[in-house]
Amino acid sequence: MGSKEVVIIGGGIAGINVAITLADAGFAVHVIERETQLGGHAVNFACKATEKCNKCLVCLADEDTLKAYQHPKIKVWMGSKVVSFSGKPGDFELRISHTTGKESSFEELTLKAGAIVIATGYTFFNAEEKKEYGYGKYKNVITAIDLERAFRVDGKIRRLTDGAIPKKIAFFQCVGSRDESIGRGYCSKVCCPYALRLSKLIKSEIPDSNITIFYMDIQPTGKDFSGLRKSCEEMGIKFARNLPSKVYGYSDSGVLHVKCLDNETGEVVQREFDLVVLSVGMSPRDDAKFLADLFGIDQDEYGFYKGRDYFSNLSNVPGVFLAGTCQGPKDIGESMVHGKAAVAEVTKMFASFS
Amino acid sequence: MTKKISKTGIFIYGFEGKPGKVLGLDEACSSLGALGFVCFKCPSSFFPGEMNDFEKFLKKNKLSKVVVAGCGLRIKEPVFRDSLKKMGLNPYLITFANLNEAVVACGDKSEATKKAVALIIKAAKWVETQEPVEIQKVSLKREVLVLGGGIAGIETALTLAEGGLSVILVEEKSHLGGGAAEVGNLKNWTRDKVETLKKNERIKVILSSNLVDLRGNAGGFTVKIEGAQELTLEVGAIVVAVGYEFVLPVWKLGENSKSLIIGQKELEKRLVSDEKLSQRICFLADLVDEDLKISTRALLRQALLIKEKFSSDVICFCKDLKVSFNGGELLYKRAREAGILFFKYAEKPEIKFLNNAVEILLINEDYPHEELVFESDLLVVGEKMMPGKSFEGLAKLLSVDLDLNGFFQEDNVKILPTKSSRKGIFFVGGCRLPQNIDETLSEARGTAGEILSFLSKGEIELDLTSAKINSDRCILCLTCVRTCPHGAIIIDQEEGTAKVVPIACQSCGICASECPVMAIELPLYTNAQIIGQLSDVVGEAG
Repeated sequence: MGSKEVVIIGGGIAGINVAITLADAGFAVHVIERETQLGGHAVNFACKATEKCNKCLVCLADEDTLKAYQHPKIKVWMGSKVVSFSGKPGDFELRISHTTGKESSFEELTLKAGAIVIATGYTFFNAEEKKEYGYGKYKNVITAIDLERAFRVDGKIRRLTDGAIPKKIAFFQCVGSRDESIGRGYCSKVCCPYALRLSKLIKSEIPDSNITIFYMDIQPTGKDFSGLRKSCEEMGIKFARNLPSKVYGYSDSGVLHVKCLDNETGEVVQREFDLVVLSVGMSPRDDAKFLADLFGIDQDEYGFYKGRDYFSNLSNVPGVFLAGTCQGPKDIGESMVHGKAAVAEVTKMFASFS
Repeated sequence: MTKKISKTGIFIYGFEGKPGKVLGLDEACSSLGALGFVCFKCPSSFFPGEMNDFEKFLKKNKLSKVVVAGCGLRIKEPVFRDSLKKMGLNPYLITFANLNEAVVACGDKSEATKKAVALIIKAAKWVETQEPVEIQKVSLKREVLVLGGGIAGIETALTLAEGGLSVILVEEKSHLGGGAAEVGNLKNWTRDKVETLKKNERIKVILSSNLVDLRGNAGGFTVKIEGAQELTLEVGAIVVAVGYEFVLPVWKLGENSKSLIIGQKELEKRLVSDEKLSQRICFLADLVDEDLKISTRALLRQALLIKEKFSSDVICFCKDLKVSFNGGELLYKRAREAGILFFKYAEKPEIKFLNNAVEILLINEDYPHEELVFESDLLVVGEKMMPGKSFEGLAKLLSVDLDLNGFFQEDNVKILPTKSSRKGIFFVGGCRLPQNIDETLSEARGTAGEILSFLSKGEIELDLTSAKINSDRCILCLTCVRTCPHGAIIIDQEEGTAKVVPIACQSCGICASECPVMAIELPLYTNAQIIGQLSDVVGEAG
């Protein structure tokens, strides 16, 4: 009983993994993607290999995306969104609106599904909210995501004001994470790993650059993370345990003055940097509430969808499952595993029908 | 039999950006055409997935073999192969000439074009000697063996069983639950899980037993279990979820140190048994292992519990406070609000013993870098998570590797963190990497999802691109059997030759390069093809 069709909302790392794994198991899968390409944020990130692979897993997004495009059992609906939802587990009906390919022309259609997997992902913290860091005001203050894109597209990083090679670079950790003053009392998990890998990448591209990472606590992920940190220290990347309070851009030269603590003397000083990189954290999507209301699923105090317990893929609505970062911050590997776990839950539900 | 005329076509696409500018595509096409190749230059709007141009090109020219030349081809290969399959052609009679780096490096247009043409001709020669690759159906066993009855093993077994597969769970000890059964806040949860597991008809639990022998490959392993029960089973996949061990760092500090320094695990026991604890308690984290978040979570929970129960003075020392787990930051905040003090150190603290107390000296990493001295009645230290004693033997039995620290080595984090180097064998939980319960359970379910997807259809279609052994040449020296990292080569006793099991082979080519009598070949990299290319390079020079 129950149609062996599954609708996945969101075609990022988690959604794609759910789609491929379910399709391999013989399910007919629809992927609803609001953008015009699959892969989510990760396809815009840069490979962070220096002289060897640094295991950032970004290449995975490209490979998985392709697998999803070509799988005969996966139908991808680009530029589409869910309009309404009804039915019960095993027999849902979704109305979606999708672009027909022509400019701004939409059409609505109905999809049937036995189960629905929500994998809508996250959005980056809007760095402009931290006014004191001057993102949006000073061109040489960028987010780590801008840096990722620069490496992905141009393969290099230059100062936006004058195109010069940046020599003194600062990373600010926990921008939009671990900060209750802006309503984010959680750690985003991914910023420490990506900042360390990006700083290694910069250092290997610009060997005479001077990189300082301002941080509270370094959060490890995966095997031998202390080895990664050690390799950063060996390359000459400096770690300073304090978060700067303000960035000033006094002159037109593009030089930034960062107000921070001198860890040796304990005095508040202003240090000059060519480039400031804000390690922005993960936030729930702006439209997370829309889907929550549509499906009747609970959100946690920050707006992420609430799993039943311990990273569970089960939402409070039977037949509606969660996968990936829409449920809380996860790195690429964890999103992948979480997606596969959603597959297990979907399979369990269908097995219980028969 | 009529002789098939195989015609090779050249399909060029995807030259945007720099390669497009340095390469004279039209010149390249005309010089290839002069050599008798059928050439097609794709409009720049071509996107893999919409293969009309490609399919039309093949049909129109009645081609059976094709070279695709372009940029960044590696990840697009399957699209082209799939397209061939759809047209009823063998998906392996195609080869790819990746021109990106070679062409960009030239700079000069005529030189770049010449180079591109040379590379395309090389690829065409390659595909001309390519044999079609066959497809084989293999049936898969729908049973799974789970080793280890801790929470990782239990969750994997339950998910698999509820998803429709049969599970045999083998536990070394005489009870289920593992380490979590001894942790205060997980005790009840674990007990409930064990009860659910016992009730599930699809799960067979075998206690006080071990895996002693393994044969076969993914989809059809034959395993032998010994201990309380002796039996031989056939399973389609194996999940290793055995537990790790806690080891307290060694202290050369005299006899009385034992009562003053305990591990977090020992503290947990005292907390569960409601023992009264001393007034001044210090925690020391990150001393032996900086990579694990699991002890930080336990530390925060235990510190809060002590504070609330006994209103003791609680002080924590750590290198970094690891809050990158569910609710971590809020737990840390609650601890600080409850009056627990946190100090961070860069250099390892010094520990001295007084009569009935421990003295901890450390330099505070925060300004003003003072040397701080604390006296404590009890010092709780985070243990080192060590590989279990059984890991080495088990790894040998399964023909998988351990990492530098002695834990199970995943094949490649990029594929799925829980996959081993052998198809059909997975590592879940602490045997690969000790993690928090959220992550461990997610891994267990994720692995179950992967296995459900793999086994539930009962059979699989394989493209036989796996290594092939020429039985006439094989001298049974066992070199391939020993060097294969995927356990994919077996000995066929009757025929007296080594044989590759296609489902397990990952086409790495190690056996082909190691075989002393050149009896092994990869169908997509035959000796003839490689020698052909080499003689092109060397031949001219003589």
